[in-house]
Amino acid sequence: MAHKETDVLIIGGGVTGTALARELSRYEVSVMLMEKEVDLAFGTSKANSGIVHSGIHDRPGTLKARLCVEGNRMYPQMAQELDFLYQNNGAVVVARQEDEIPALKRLMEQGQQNGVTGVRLIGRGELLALEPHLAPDLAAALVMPSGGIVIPFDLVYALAENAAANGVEIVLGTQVTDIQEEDGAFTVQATHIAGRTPRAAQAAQTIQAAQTAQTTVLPVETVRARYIVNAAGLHAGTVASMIGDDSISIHPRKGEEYLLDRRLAGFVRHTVFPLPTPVSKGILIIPTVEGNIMLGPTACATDSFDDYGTTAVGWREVFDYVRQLAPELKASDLITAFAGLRAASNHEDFIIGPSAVSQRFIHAAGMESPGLTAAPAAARLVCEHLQEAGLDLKPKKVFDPIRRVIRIRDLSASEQAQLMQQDAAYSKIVCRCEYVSEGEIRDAIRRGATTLDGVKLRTRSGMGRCQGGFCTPKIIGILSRELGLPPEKITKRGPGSPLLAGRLR
Amino acid sequence: MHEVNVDLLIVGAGPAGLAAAIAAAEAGAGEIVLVDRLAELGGILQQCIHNGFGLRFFKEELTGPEYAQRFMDKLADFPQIRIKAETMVIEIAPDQRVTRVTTVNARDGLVIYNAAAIILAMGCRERPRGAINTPGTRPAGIYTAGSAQRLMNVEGFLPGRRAVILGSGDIGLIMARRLTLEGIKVEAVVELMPYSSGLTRNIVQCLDDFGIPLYVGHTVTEIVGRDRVEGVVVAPVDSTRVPDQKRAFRIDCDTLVLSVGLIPENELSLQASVLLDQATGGPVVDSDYQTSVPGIFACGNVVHVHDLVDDVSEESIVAGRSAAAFVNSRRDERDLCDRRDRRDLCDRRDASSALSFSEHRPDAFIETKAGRNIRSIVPQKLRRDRPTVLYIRVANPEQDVVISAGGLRRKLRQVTPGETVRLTVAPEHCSEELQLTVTVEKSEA
Amino acid sequence: MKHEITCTACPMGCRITVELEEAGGVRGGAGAGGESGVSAADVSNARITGNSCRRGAEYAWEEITAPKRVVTSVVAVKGQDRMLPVRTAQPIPKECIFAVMDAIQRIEVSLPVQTGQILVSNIAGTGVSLTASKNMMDIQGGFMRAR
Repeated sequence: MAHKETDVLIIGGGVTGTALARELSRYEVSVMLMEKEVDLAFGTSKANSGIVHSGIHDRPGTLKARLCVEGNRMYPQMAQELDFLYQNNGAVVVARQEDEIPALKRLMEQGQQNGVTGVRLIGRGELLALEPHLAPDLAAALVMPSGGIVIPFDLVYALAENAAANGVEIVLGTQVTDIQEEDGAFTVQATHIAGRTPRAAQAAQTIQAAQTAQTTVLPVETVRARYIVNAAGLHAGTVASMIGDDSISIHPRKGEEYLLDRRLAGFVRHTVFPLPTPVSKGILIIPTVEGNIMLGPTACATDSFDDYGTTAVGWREVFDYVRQLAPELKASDLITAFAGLRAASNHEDFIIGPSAVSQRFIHAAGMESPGLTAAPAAARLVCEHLQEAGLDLKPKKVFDPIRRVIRIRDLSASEQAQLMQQDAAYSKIVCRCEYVSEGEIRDAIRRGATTLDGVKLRTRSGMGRCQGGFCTPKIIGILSRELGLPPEKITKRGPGSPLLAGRLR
Repeated sequence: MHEVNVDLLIVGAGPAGLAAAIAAAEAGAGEIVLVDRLAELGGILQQCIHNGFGLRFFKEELTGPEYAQRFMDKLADFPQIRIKAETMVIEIAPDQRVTRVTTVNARDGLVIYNAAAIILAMGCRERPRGAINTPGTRPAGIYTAGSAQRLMNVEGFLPGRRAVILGSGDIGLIMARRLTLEGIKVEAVVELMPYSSGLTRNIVQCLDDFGIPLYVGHTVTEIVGRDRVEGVVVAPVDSTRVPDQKRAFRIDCDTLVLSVGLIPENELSLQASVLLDQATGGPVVDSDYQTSVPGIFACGNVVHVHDLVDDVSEESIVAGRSAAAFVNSRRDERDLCDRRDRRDLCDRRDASSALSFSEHRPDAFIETKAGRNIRSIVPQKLRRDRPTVLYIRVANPEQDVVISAGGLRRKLRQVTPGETVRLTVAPEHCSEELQLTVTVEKSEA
Repeated sequence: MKHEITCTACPMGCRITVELEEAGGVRGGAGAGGESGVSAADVSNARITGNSCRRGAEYAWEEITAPKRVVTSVVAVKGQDRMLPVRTAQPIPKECIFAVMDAIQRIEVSLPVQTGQILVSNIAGTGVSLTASKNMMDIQGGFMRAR
């Protein structure tokens, strides 16, 4: 039986967990990050809107407000160090009628209290000059110049790769099942999961290809950890209860997002918010760093921790709403849709700090919006809590903050030519919609992707307008070769999701 | 990175590119480069292993690979055609006298071709699930018909064990049979429209032969299954295509095959500022299959989605010949340039076929116009000096009709959106007006 | 016996009814019989209606008495990661489709192969040969299996 020891065990490989992993990798401590899915960012982070919020939306004095503003300021440098795509595009909150202007003003004041700089109120004329495709009858808007955009999973992989390069051990496809505290340390039991739900396992069984899980099966793993950080997102309540802490309950709130063709690049420059509702920041028009336009999200409470379906109702809600803000948007530009579950909790604010049960068990939970923006600041706060609990955080002599990745579509023609001469794999174009080469897909697999979705999220292959129609067989082939597995063992996103049912002959 | 001058570059070596290359070579186009993304020529035909190709063009019933092989065999007779396989075109930029085409492949890296003329023959792609916005989850097991076909017929893998097919065009029907032959249970073919747009022959031989149910006027309203498809919910739709959820039912399956339409692949055309037709989704072309950009020609499914490869070959031959004529007239022009002034040059160019319709006097071409029950017409601009074959697609099925184009009238027992009507219009059918309206009317007994 | 079939001879898709008399009884040659072009002996006990043309009657008659289909599929190639497309050179009796498929599944061919080359003569006892639909001279790459 495997028996490992670590100073800090982070449970959860979303943006909260990986940002913390990277922060902790600056120090002379051993860190392990454990994720139950076969890849990082496969939970809530995958379907995040990717907005780096300015911090005007949150109630002054809350952790949300403080960490959002702090986190926002950390993004430019982090993007430079970690080579993820980040754009400081700014954001606007629009008022549709004159009578909404007082609410805009209150929002502006709240922002100022939170320390958000540069916020200003503009009239219709200036708004239309900034964003000519917005409806001409909007009344006014707040401009938040510090707003930004990232690709959430791109961010997670960047954080994790840099953390790993600086010594963090990342364990995937491994679910924590039991935690016992004794003698000033935790004994953590974890299992490798072969199938997520009985239903999925059943469906998969009809397909021979799925009969054996593709990951190395270690039924049980035991880890001794001096400290634990609960960054388990939707499952933070379950993880907390393993040490007898029942203070956290998660109430998932589903959000559906709709992605439009890159043909619309530049349709809006700023992220466009309506006035917030009591439960969410509303339905937005989000320019993505890759040029697509994203519409959404909806906000719908659900009992399920597993409900990732989009709905006809959700689409109507989103599309009818955004058309009021930007009447030129067309349904025919839709290329894909997805849904995510926000890890909303029974607390109004983020839950960051030691458990009442054990000081060495730190929560980083309830990280709903602006969780992504706040993640790097939340990581620092968690480090402070760990120090208070007795962990000695001594900076490493050698910490390399830099992570680089090759994206040929971002290179000039001559840079591409040079790269292709060095390595012909970069000249084999696999995904033509997004211009992704075999070399980049190979790199993604060597950087940790083991599934079709893992490759897709790391390279964008299959994310374009044809949605993988042409490149899927090729990517299966590359995964098969790189992982040394037959193609019928390659999955979309881990056990239970085989892509093929076997060989014809 | 290096630059190469060529006479003609053809983007895509599917049926359109192959026929165009051969026709251009026969017409003396000079040095031709034929570029394709895949290692193998023939395009989509290589995975269309079923028979039914070539009845008109070869007067024989061939399979897709056999049809492609006929052209590939002929290609071998023309050493002036250089084949660049596993090569992707990443940019097309019209320049003063040439079109600059940037390509990339593993052997040469980035290469820029300066071509006197190019032919766009990129074909089309399939509409994905996202484009039809089917609600539900995103599990493994959702394939477009073409992807499933490639997986089976080329790669040799089974996409699943129990399938539902959405879309009953010919591709959906052919896949229903193909899956069945390989032991996959096809639970149903679901069609949004009240009729199948596939050939009757395919309904009979692909569905009826195997007892596969066809639900017309139905659609998939939800995909179920988190990791792998576990089933789909199917519901009837009303006349405005809105599903009736009260009459919805679930079909268990592990695979959903989508055959929900093809889209001409025109990202490169747009890059080159080629004018597109909203109705076809492809470039506006003239009788020579020249686009709005001088020296850029287009043929095959990139222009409009065909139902018969025979028609692709036919129009691609026209495009190939025209491109050759363009290259040759430009060559003559270059010779003239040294001796004559600009005015003479213009006169000469006007007399030749080298100009695109965008450069001509407005009355040099007759514009085709869609009248009653016509969805699209290709070519869109007709030359006045010779007959042109029109490919006409109707909007709705209709029986006992007369299709007319100017002075030309033809009685037809039936028209359907799934079947192109082919009509040859001669100059005498066109009056002096600047347009030729094509209409379908009910035949008077 | 009354059979209803959809004609596939052209895109019209006529619904054709073929009525056969039990035990070879005669029910006149009326209806389409005379103009169908199908021999009098064939139709002496059949009544074909609903067709719009002679080809329809011929099709209907064959479809009722001896329906045939071309079968196309793929076979494995030794040492090759790409399938070879194949076809029956002529249509085979419809009831033999799956017998032919069974035979196809067991075939593995060696390269080189030429289009039209007979891979199996008399496949599944149908008297029809199975031929290659494609030239395959040397190892070609599929996308998915390691070379």
